[in-house]
Amino acid sequence: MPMDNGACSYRRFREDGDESGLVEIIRDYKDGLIYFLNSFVGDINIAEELAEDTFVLLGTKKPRDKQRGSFKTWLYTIGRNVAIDFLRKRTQKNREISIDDGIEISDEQNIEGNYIRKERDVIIHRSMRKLKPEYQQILWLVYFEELSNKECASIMKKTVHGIETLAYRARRALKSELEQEEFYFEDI
Amino acid sequence: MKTYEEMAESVLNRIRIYEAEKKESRRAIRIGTAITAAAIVVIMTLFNISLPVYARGIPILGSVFAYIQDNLDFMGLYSSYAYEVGEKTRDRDVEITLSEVYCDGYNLFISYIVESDKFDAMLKKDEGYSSSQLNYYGKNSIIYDGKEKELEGFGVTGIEGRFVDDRTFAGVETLSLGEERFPDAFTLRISVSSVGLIGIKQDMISGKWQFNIPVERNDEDVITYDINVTENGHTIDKAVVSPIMITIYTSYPDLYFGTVNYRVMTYSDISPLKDTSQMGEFAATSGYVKIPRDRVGKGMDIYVIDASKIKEGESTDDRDTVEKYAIVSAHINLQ
Repeated sequence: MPMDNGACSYRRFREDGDESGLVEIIRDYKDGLIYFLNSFVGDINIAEELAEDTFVLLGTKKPRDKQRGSFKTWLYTIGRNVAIDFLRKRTQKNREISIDDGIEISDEQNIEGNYIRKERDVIIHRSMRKLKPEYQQILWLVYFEELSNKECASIMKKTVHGIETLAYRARRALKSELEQEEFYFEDI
Repeated sequence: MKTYEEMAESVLNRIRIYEAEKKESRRAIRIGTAITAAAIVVIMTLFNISLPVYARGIPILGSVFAYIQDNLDFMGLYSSYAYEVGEKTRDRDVEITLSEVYCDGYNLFISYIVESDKFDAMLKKDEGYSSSQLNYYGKNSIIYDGKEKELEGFGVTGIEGRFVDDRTFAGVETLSLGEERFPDAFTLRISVSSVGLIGIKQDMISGKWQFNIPVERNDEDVITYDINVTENGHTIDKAVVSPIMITIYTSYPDLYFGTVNYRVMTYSDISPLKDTSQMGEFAATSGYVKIPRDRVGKGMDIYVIDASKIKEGESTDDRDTVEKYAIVSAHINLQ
């Protein structure tokens, strides 16, 4: 993952109309964004559609990245808004989710294999899925995206103090899940 | 799952379609606008009409709930039960109007109109601000019998709603006393120290906005169902059904604190396969879950489970599994 070439790629796309800039962003950020959005919607296929919607939004609305945070923080914030809009619309339609709409495990394992390399991280990620969505989101941002509390606060629309409290509770819940699986990590 | 090349191709195609449609729609608008403008000029000339000065008055004062109630996480007929307050306070070029209030006994719903010329500039910054939330910092409490009790917020951060125009946000906040019931009558005290938008960074305007509003509880159409079913120290105590929200209260042994293993799952005639509960708060030995009223028709099933007991390959997403592992369960028929 580039440090923040995303901002350069996006500038090329936005200001010069260079489509390869957007393709680079999709290449570098697609999988992480899908996983992050999956923690909102609990369905990897819907998360993929929402990630695509997020990239389309970059291309159609061309919002300006003021570079006050990292490009990733900014992109994830837009993705979060797209996911919340989706959930709101789904609530309005009172959509029933059938059993067939469940998570496609094979697709998720596929992306997991591509994005999460270390065995330890795979174990943590699978345990995370048992936690409530807000815990999954904060743990994903802290452990896998390695964002600071301040960056997490921006994305999750909470105060830094709120993020610290949430991260503490989420870690405690994750630790409990891992212990049930008989895994012990000192740094959780 | 798409490769990045496939997704990029799909994204670029959708952008091209969007651009083409935008171009076509601009052309249509230009033609339509010209025809409309010409017609207006003709009518105004014929009947000697002059245009009024544009007023910034908001047509939603006193009816924010009606305006917003179908777009909230907890949808419902707030407007039928709320009463108008219409009190305003202004500081630092931000005017906050407490429009209406409704207390169903366990939840306090407040509607606001927040106006500021600063919002337009903030929104134009393109910081990924949420257009459906307005954040604020401050303190909410109620005063009764000489006591002051702080209120808890739940649902989305701050006020949930939408922008009416580029300077006016209309929204709703829901507060509670946790598991406690509101008194018959009380003073609602709201002290706001900053208000603003949240996105990449929070853009807050500091100031001082304060309300002291007398509120009366409205128990109309609120029904409490005493359930009191106990198994192995786990009890489903009661369900309080209001026009907006259903709250299920439970109590349990001190086994779960610091874990997420204690779960209350609810299914209704409208949603027989998907858990209908929206949010919950669980202390060491008691807690509650809240369900939007519109997700339940005439009946609902409630199950309490210990998620740590569920075997690998089974999931709480599956109702059969939930039923299989239920420690205690209950069914209620709603009137």
